[in-house]
Amino acid sequence: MKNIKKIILLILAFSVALSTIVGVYAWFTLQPATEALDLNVRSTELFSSSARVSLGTENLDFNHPLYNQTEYAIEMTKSQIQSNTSGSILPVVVNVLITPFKTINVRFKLVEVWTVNNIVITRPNVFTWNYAISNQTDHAGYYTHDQVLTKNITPSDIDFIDNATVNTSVLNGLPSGAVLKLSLVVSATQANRSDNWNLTTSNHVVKQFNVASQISNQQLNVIFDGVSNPQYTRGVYVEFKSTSNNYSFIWHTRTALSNRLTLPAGTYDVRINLVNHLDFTVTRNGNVIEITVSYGNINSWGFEDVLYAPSMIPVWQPNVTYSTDDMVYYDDASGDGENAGYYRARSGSTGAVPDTTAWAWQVISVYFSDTRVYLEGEIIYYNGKFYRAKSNVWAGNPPPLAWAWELLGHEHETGKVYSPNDIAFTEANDVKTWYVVYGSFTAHSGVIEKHYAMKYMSIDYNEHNQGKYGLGEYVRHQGYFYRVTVANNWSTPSVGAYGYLRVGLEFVSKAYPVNAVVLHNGQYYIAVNAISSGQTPGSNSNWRLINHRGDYAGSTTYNRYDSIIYNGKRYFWNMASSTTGTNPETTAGWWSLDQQWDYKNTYVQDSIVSFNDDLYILRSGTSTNQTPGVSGQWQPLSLKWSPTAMYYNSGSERSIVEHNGKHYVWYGAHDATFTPIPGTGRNGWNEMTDVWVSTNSYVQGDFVIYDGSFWELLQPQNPTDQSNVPGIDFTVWKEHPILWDPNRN
Amino acid sequence: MKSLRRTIILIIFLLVSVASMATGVFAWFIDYGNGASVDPFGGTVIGNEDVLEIDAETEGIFLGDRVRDLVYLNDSEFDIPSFNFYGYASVLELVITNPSLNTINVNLQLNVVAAPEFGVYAGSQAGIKYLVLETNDSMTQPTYMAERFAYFQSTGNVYSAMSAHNFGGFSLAGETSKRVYIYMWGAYDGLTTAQKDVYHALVYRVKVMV
Repeated sequence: MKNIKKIILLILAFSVALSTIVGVYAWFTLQPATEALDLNVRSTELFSSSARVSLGTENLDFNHPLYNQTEYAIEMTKSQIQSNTSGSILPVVVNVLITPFKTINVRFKLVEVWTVNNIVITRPNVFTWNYAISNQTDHAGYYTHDQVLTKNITPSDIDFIDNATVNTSVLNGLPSGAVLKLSLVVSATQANRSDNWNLTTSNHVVKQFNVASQISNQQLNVIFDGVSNPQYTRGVYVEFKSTSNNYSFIWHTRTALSNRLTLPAGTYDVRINLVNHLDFTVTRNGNVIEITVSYGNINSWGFEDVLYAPSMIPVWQPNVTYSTDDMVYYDDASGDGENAGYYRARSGSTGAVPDTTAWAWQVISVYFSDTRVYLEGEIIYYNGKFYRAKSNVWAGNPPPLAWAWELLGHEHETGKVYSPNDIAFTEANDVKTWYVVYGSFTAHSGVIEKHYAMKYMSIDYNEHNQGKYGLGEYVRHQGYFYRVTVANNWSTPSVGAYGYLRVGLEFVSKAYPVNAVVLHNGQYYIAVNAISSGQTPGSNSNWRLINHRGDYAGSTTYNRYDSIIYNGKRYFWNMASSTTGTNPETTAGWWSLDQQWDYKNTYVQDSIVSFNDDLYILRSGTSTNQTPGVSGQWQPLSLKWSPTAMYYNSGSERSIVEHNGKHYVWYGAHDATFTPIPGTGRNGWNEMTDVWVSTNSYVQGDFVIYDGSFWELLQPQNPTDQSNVPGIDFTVWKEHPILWDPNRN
Repeated sequence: MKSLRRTIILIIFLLVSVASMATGVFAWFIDYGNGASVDPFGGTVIGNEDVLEIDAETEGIFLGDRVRDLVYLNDSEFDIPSFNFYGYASVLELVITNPSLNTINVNLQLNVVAAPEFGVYAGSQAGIKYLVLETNDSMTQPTYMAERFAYFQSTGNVYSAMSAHNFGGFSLAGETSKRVYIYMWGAYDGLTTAQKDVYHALVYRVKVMV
């Protein structure tokens, strides 16, 4: 028996020791990780690209007279094609340069759009394109490069078109006003899914569009519905193909489109140059053919990316003459690349170095440049902040400059344009001070106090807020709390000051309701009748002295208004009958004189209590057994959010609270109580931050920071579904990227 | 007297053991955050007793950043010998510095946190695979990755072997820095049916834990 006990003890000790070893091991070796980095991961891009096109001995780059800088297309009239055709060959050579971000396959399509007087005509069979490799073209005219491109930072130079054989009789038969626009579409797919691009059964999405009788002069519009990638707006190539006709259209958002479609009766196969995960519909609304693009069903997965008109912007050359609106890439070799980037010509020039000649060139970048002229509405990035040009700004005028720049976001700065319900902050030593705005004005000073229609948000009284406090608000000044009794008064809180009433235990000359308890000359009094202003405790029977009888004794009989000390707290008996041997902490009738809230007390308006280390004041009426912050009309005397508090949203009365370490502003109904928990939904509380918050409510024109970019809300309000997140639907939030991409912007 | 001494020793032993066990297990389980809040990209991380400095080499101007070129592979592709994993990997490059005098073990984890605001486009942990590789003095990264994957595949369970590799971390001597790469792939077979319908639009809210 003794041995069994020993064994049991031994097993027990062993088990405990084992648990201890595991626990201590875990403690020392499996220490929880610390969050370090935070990022979004998504599928958007597979490659970058540019195109090199020549016509005979001439390079047709972005700045060439034959390049249409709006359409991103090479534009040639009938006569220009004729004059450049030698024999029956048009010596057009097209090479595509691809920088693969992943291991990919690529395919290209040369887009032909023919028009006469801005009316699209059916594509005449003028050209037979001679591809670098024959038999690599699918039924939709996409040329698939036969090699896999391995992830590389160096571009691959791919031969695409060697030249075109011209059917001169067809060409000569065209109207004299015929114009050709040639552009390029480049697609890529992850190479391990290139089976989707089988040349005989390729995965292009095709829709039917029936035209019962000829429709003339039709506009075409492309509508994106819930699509994340804004690069598609750079250009959508739409093809209407029937058994006898083939009409092509280039849609983009850079300018209003002048081309129109006239489609004879027939059934058309409609294709667009987008990717396999996009579907579309074709409808007609009045004289507009609408193509609505949305995410479609996935028949065979494999990520695809597409670029319309890869960049043809040339490298700047000192001996080339440039015209207004030409674009170049300047490498700034002499400056170690510091000012390298894309530049747009402000005027014609030859030899004007882009980064030093502001009259000739302006850099295309959201980064502010001293050499650049900015147009009204443009957004720049300068010293870690985003600004919007308030008017046209000549070179050499960096922010802050009130007439020129408006700082975006909530930080106050000279030049900011405010309107009611805005919020603003100043920051010093990493501490933000918040203000609410209740007027429309432009900030004329960086000193926020110089602007009247802004209110400093704090429980502490602030001189800047004179004339702005609303009726019923509470402020703290020199250690005392005050209730505002006259809205928008210009007084400084003090006893007897116009518009303020000092609240708290200490007696001041004012009206008191029945059961109000005050401290006067070291003695507690209770109002046994309603007290009008001017009645000092002790001066009449309306105030009843609370008679202190020392430490509580269980054998002593206590009468009404007798007070005692029990467990370090002071109580008084407040029932008509006397009491003996009752526990002051738990027996109804014992009222606490301590500031700590006591469920047995009946509190009256302006009573201040402490609960869970927070101070509360009773706004009105009386309160018995209503826990502060849970029920009743308890208002916290701090910025801490409380369900029982009343919150304001009218003029200069705007409530700001602190909850879980974040600050929120109330935009719900004025005088609201039992408000929802801040940060838990779109519920009337907006977190005060420049960073996008899913539960915040935004209005058109609001700017937020999110996901490494700056975003502007395009819609009247942010939606409630997933498109509320910047980057989900580009028609909801517009991105203002830091870097300008010549292929995707 | 002897019995009393035994009892006291037993009580002390039990007290110390239980307290250590409770403390250890408590320490083990605390502080695994799962919120969708945004933290600064780059900064300082406090490990056991040491402070690691992380340089993510980004603009550093905004909170948060992004990877835009995630590509998906399926389970069978992860098992293909000599598959070009490097060619399909998205990469996050970090420099980790150990300014202390002590050699420490650095463990990087990539956690996908709940992001209900993304709705149907919210990615989950099962939809992403990752591999942490530090700079290797004798091999290029593609070669090092190929070598690692050959090993992972040889174990018969690539994903488990990858996890074990990531979990093992790497050693970082005191007062040194190391360039570290986190390679990521989408795991198509880890997606739900609903996610597969919009795999191209999924967004993974990722926290890199050190």
